[in-house]
Amino acid sequence: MNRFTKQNKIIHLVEANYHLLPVLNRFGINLGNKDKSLEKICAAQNINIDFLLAIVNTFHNEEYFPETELKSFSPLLIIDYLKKTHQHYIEYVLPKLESLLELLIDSNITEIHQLNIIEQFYQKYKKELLLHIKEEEQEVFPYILNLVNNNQVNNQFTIHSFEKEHSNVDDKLNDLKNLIVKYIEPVYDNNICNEFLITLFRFEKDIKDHARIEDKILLPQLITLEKHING
Amino acid sequence: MDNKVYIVHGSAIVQQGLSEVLLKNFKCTIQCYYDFKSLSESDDNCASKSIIFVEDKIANSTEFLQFIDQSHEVKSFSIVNDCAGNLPVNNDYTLSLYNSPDEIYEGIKHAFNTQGLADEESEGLSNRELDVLKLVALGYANKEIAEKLFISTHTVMSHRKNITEKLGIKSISGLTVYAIINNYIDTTNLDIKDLI
Repeated sequence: MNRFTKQNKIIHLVEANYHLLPVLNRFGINLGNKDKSLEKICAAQNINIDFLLAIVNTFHNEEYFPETELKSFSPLLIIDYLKKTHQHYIEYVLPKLESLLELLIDSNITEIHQLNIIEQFYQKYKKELLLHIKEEEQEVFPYILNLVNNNQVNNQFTIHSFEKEHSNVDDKLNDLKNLIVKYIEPVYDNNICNEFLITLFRFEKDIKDHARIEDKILLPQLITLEKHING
Repeated sequence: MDNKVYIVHGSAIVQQGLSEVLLKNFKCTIQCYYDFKSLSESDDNCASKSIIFVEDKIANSTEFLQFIDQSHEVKSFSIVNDCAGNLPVNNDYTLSLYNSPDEIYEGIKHAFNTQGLADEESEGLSNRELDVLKLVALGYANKEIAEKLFISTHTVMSHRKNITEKLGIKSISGLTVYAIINNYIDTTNLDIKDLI
């Protein structure tokens, strides 16, 4: 799979993979840039082009994950990107999933109410995800920022296993998919169901990429920083 | 069964004997250890889909149960010293030192469904797995399930692994949803919201 370069234009990226659209938005890049290259767009908007390319390429190609390069970027850049991703989930993806689920439930005219149980499950998943995001934004990220900016280690603070949290949240998303695809009576509008599942699949891919950056890049960076400061 | 097999047992005689029975019946490579510490400290990372036969006192130790809980695709059998010989050969991931080679072969085959022994219905969940699923769905912990069903915690966890593998559902809430929509549990007097 080809890797995107500085010379590419937005249209090249989007034609190859339209799932990159929200990723570009997270960097503050909008459409309508005529024929400008990524390099020019980034220079004009003061965006770190190397970081953008690393993120875009890893998102596009699951096999491509240049750990050393990614770890060389400032944790501040990474945190900023991760926060934008959280915002995208909270403001756009979750509300979209919910409204589709509502439509799906409304499309059922039978007496079978399995979808209501699925909705309870979804709510539980959402609650856990939001809690996880809140912990990251209110505890983990500020801790890292303090580490980077002030060289301060708080020995009271423990990273309560990022990775385990992630796998718990991922498991539920996977279960939601399986329950609908395999076990629920199909007493609903198929088109709405497809739309819901497509949104779910896309979200799953996005969130896996997100978790991979946290677990494989940010967390090791944090451990190295702590070691460095502690001497 | 073309697998990597580990035997963790304090007795060299048991290691030798079980190895012989396994090699006679299944295509596998076997690695023996006298205790769990040696296995966990060895470079031999228990690859996915490996099978561990383990002395019962080790099988029910906290370290081993934790290890099994974290290694999703590893399955394990506990080997009990059942000198009275009353241990039935069943699907409960338990072998007795007094089982005949044939019984051992059947027990393993049955547990892993290698010859499609499970009934084809209900995603192939055995009755015992259904019992465990229902209790998991009702919110019981592994230890409580073990007490209710008169089996070891190790056996409960082995069933849970199998259930997850067969259904493709990993979380407890997900299993609860599955149990409710299939009417495996009666929710008339329960608040579904709390249950999930």
